Amino acid sequence: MHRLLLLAALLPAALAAAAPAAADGIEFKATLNDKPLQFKYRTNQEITPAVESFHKTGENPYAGDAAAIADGQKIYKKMCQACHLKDGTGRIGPNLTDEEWARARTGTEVGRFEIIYGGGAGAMQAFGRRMDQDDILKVMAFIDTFRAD
Amino acid sequence: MKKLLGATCAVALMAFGAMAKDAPKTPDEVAQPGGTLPGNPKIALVQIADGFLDPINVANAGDGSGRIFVVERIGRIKIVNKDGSVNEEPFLDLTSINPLGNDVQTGFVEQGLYSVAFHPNFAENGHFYVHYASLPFNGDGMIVRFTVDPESPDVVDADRANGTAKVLMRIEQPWYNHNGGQIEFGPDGYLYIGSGDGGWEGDPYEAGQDLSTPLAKILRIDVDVPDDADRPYAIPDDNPFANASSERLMVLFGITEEQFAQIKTRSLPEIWSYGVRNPYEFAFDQKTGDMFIAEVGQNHWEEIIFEPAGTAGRNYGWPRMEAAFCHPMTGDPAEDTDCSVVGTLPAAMYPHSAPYPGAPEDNTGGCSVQGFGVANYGGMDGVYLMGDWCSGRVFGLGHDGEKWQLQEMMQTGLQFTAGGYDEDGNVIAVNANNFYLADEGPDSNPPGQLWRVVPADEVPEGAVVAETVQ
Repeated sequence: MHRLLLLAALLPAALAAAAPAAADGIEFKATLNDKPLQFKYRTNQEITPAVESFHKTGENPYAGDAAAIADGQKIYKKMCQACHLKDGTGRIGPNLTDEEWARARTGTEVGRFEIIYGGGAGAMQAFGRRMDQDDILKVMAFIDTFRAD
Repeated sequence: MKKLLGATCAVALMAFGAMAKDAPKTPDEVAQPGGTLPGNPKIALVQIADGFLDPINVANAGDGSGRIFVVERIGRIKIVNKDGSVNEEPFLDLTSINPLGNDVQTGFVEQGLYSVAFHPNFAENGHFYVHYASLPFNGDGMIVRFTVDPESPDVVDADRANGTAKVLMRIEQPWYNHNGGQIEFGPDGYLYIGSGDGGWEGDPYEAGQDLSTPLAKILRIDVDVPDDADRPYAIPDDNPFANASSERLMVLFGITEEQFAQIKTRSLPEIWSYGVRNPYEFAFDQKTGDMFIAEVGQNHWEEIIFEPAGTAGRNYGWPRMEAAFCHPMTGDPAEDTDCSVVGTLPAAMYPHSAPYPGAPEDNTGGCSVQGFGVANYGGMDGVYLMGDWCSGRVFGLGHDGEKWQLQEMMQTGLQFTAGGYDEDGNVIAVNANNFYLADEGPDSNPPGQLWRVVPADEVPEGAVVAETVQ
């Protein structure tokens, strides 16, 4: 007990701030500078079982789910396609069909969620302001299909 | 007058300098990312205020009030007081001057209330000027003067706006893009107007090289004419085409070719310079009077134009040129041996993700250059600061005595749209959260912020600073 208390006291303030996300299992980080990601957008949204599970495991429950992929495609057409193109090869936004990522972490489900929810740089806005986390997971499931073949 | 004297002194000093600061003579002298500014200055963006709806321009009134005026695309101008508080009631609200609805066309994300400029004698005459896409005129660019009621310095209500409105110019717009934007008084007291090529892509009108259209130009007019004058403005005598289209008798002999070349019977006398695509933002160096233009490029390059104070009549090349390259780009410009430069080259340029068709992905630039202003503090001497709408980068452009240097100053997550100065001469900037896609409208996009550029080691304690890559 004594040791644990000591450790807690030594935790820097920055780490303590990450507690809400870390408590769920995964420590989400801001794309720009790896600071703890703040879940501050659309605070009234429904946290679905899929989102809850993702926060704990970092694995997208919608991966490979045909219905979710179809939903994700609809959102992609509306929110993502103008920059990343219909086939994901990119124009203003980068190519999503290969395994090259400007930020290595974007190669993981957690990293892709971080950049969609919290934004990257400039026009890669924080889309967490424009769609619920459940929809982000569906878009991610759709984006996966670009790299499937 | 003080400003004018300052500019004259600087020009005189430059004449003795070893290397005149001017536009590059050859494409390989055009600066690209990777340069280092003299002294390698470090800056930070400190937040002044938050909560603006698609802010796309910012200005001060020069009246000693310390107020900053943030232009919201939908048609409102918000006042930020010296203490950072934002007045709830707008300074000007063009959404309410017309009983039939908003007077501003905002249907496309590039349209809206583009900019505001305050008369050099605003403190005495209360005149200020706006440039906006008009809804009643199907998106035409309206340049209108309004006059503040001294009894109500912070609010120009609908009655006052309608009662004092004086339309200076209506620029017909064929398409809904490239119509912007900036209007600004130069150190000479004349109003400069940034006028895009009218839109679509590729300059379908060939407006850039056509002296008979105000499109794709920087215009310069003298607003100080009596209100009952025949025209709402005058042409400064030293505008480059002020007399080029005057009617005259034809004389064929005894005239030099140079004299013939000055006859342009269809040219507009308002033109100051030409061959620009989308000069959405430009700025004057408050110390020297030099002009920088953030010239938004097409598919492959953004460019930044430098124009020494008082240099009239330059051709910046569009649509023959895109940055330092011939337009249209069909492949790697290094293999295009037929390209010869048209007009004056930009001082700097930076690439899009594809610097030419088929190029490997480049991650050093952005997509749309938005100028802030010229910094003469924090170790910066005449450094033009600009941000990119897509990449969130802030670039600084300066001259090291030998050549131009374009340095990436910071990588933020912000979508920059414009900048300007506060009354103390600090460079300020705004970012919006709008884009071509997912545009929810100018009253519904996530709000944008107002920032001040400060030297990195002078960030006030407790200030909100823009997040950057460390």
